Amino acid sequence: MSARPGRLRAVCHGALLAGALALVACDETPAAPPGGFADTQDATDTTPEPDTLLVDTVVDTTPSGPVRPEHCTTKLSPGPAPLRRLTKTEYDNTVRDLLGDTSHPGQAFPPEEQTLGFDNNASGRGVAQVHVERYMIAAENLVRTALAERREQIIPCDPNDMPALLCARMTFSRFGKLAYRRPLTSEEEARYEAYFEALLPTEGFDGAIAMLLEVMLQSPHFLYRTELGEPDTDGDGVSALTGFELATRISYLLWGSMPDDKLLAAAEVGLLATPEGIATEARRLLKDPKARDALLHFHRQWLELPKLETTFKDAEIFPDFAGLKDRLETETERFIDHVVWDGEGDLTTLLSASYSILDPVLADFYGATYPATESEGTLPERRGFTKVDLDPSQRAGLFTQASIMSTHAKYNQTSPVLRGKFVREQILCQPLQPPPANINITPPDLDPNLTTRERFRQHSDSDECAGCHKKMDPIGLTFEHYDGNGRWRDAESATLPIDVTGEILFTWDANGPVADALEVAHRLAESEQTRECYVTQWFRYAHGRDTGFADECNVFDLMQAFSASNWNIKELLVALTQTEAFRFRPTVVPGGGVGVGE
Amino acid sequence: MKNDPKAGWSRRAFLRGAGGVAVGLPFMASLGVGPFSKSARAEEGVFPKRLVIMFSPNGTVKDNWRPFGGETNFTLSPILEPLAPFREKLLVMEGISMLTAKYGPGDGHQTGMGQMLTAVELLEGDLFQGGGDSGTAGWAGGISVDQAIANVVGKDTKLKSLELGVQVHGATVWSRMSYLGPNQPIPPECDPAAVFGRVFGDMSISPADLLKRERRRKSVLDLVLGEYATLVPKLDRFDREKLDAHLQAIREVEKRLQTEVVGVSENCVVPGQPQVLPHMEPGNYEAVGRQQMDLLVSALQCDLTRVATLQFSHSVSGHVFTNLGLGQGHHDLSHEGDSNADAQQKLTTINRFYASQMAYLCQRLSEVKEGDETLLDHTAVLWVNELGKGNSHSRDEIPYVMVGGCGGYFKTGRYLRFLPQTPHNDLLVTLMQAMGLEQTTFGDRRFARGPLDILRG
Repeated sequence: MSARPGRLRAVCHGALLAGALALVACDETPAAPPGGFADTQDATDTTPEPDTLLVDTVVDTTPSGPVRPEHCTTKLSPGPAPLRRLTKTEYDNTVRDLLGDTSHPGQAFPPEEQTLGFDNNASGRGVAQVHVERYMIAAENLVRTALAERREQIIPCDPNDMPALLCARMTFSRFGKLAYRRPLTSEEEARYEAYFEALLPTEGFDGAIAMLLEVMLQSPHFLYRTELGEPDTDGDGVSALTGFELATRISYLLWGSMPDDKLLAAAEVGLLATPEGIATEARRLLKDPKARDALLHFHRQWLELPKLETTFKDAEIFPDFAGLKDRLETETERFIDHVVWDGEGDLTTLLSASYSILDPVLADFYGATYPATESEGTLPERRGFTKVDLDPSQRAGLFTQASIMSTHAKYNQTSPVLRGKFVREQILCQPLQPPPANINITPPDLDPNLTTRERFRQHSDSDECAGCHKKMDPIGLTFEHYDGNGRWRDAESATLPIDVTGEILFTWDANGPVADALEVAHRLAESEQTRECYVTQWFRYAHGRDTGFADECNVFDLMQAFSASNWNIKELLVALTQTEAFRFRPTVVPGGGVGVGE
Repeated sequence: MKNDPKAGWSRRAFLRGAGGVAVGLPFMASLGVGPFSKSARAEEGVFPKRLVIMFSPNGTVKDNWRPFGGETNFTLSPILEPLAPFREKLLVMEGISMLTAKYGPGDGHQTGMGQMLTAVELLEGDLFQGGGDSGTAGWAGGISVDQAIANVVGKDTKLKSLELGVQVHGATVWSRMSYLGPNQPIPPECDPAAVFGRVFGDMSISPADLLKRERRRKSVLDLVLGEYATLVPKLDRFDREKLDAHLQAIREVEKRLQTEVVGVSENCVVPGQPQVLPHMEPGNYEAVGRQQMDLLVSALQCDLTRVATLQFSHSVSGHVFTNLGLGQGHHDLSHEGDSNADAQQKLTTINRFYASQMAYLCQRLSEVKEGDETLLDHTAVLWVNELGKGNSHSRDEIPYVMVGGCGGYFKTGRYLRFLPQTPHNDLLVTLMQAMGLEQTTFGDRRFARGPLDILRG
């Protein structure tokens, strides 16, 4: 194999957490051979994201550590707070809570751009003509339905019993406070009164009210989470958020929706001015079922679950996959739901539990026993999902669930590369780089005489490939007991036994040989790096942006709280509402640059 | 509907009600304000020019793409052979390169995709991890040429532009070709039913009701505009840009609600609702593509828009062409070496498939009579790719193919070989001029030189 002329210089920067975990520049990368292997596409190509690294990355072994950095105590570090538009999901949740409308109008909006794996990043979400059209149509339909079905909730008075303007004022100040998640300003009240009076002669009371409500549903104060903050009294460029702005942050983080009356009331009387007051409300919100949905929304994206819908398998090799897909998705969702809310509540269990939440079909699939007492007398196919013990020598937490094993596999075979990549990127927050040009990335063909490990041997035999594939393959190959469907197999075939030994490299605290995937799961479930990565993923989701240098203090504080709770996920969510990044923002300078942290 | 080839172009606002009754609205041929030049304006007797940019991913197989022969006496290659019926309307352009896409952040696919129609570097950023030694990148750094053109020629039509996709997965810099401006990607609509609703949904409403609705909408949007205008000055520069863009988009919609402007051509035939297919299912790739193209042709024919993009899949697409008897994903195949004859043959088959999709679109456009010519004659259909060659990620020698004269602007029926280092900025600005804009350069000024006059003859 001849090396390509010239050598690639690798610049593998891209700090995950400045000062905490960084992929630092590596000097040189072996030149890429024209014939090397780099398995890159998943079974169905649900995402165009290339997925293999071929540059030598080195992980800085400096986790956030036991001591709070000194500068954290001298200066507030909120980091940037870019303006965020409601996502489709947030829009749907919000109109459900605002108007009682469950028609999911947001599903007709254009697809959400995805940045860093989440749909709610503040970046890259431009508004085109099509967005405006869809917002307009959604507002029309929402108002029409609301006034027809829930009129007395929207219009709290009878315009025949009092001056029309007074009733209108009552209507839009009440609606405005909910829609804008704060009381209307006097300027706004005056403006809407003027609009109403101008429209009344031609449109009548109902017509004018309907149009005004539509205006409010298309206002930036509804569609965006606008934040102007409190004045910057000490001139440090950092402002506290107003109580209402905080209420909005809390509810969109924990509910993916608008604040309820109680939260708005707490904001109004100043209860959110202290971290303790915020925590009290956060805990209250976490008791509401809406928090379950919001948590699932995060976990679905973190685990790349939406890929299932567009994953298709070779029906000759995996004939039952099409029929299992929905169940596998349900399993993972129910499992997360159970662990967080009804079970142990911690990240460690999520990543290592030897049980899952299954129906009888999936219990069969996993070779587990569906509890006989469950739904006795019901036909097996009608029996629901329930907690089922799995063989602890075969399964461990999310890592080995078939939803994740099957989406991180190919159309007709497993993929050690995709599975290793999943662990590196999603679990350890070590972004890998896709292959450079001039690399053959076709997965080796199925061969009845060779195991997957043997077919992928070129990755380790060739120095060029090994430099990078040692980050993926030695982890990915431990998952070879799970076929492209995620089903357990003792061997690849009668003549091909499976060797699932491997090694974890380049982590802060989890390095070393592993006997199988179970050891990978259990070791990573206890790893500091995994935990900090999970915190980082939540931070990205909560703030709609990546962590930056200014967030060193925020992540440190989150890790302290997460650790103190023994890695309890609900406690991490409460902690997310306590950070400087959550409670403060750079002071808004009209027309000026972005303040602190940019 | 009226379809008299001698009728010429009369841009009467012309709406068909639920009962099939045609209602003529005020004549608006004299409406022509704004910065657009004469030739882009819809005038009595002059058919408007249209632009369609079709994308397919992962580069081509040059040896099987390149025609044989000279400028006019060429023979089409295995890949381009499906376009043979349109040989006299073809411009095969060899050698034009995305020079800008060798600079700035991003890997080969990212820069190719994000610079394909913008011709400026991607933004710096940590949003997307690039391949090889490329580090990270943000979204595209400028407006795309389709949008720059639509900003001018899209003023008179119901939709400024139409962005259609066929199984576009992902919502990242790898999957977006159209941009309103820096950091503002436009997602393509992949569901034909949604496209139908957006473009033709109004056609079932009676003209009187439609008028009433449009007036009401305009009043509401006027007030919505006020909300944005009041907030914008209070924000910092960064957030201000976002809301300004939103405000601009509201203006675009609001302007179209002036009843004089909403209209369709006399030639309009409203299509039926597309058959419902699981539109993201790989097996429906070709069928969904056809539905989108059918809707596109109708939208152009009705003059509901004049600028469109049609995006098949996305850069790095791993679509498996089971309909062509292939088992491997496109991207995997595209990384195979030049010496792998089997892979090169499969890639040829895939690219030939895309040529046949373009041929289908052109066929449908050529079936619509406009005066003595056809809709195809008044359109430029440009086929673009984010790479020249898949296995090297080369952004040199992009396999550009155009069909249609764009209202006699281009001299077609030719195979042109450009000098190395001809920047694609110049092809893009040529499109702008063909569509009636007066701009003389487009994109990164370090590369942009000016229109490729050779395309005119």
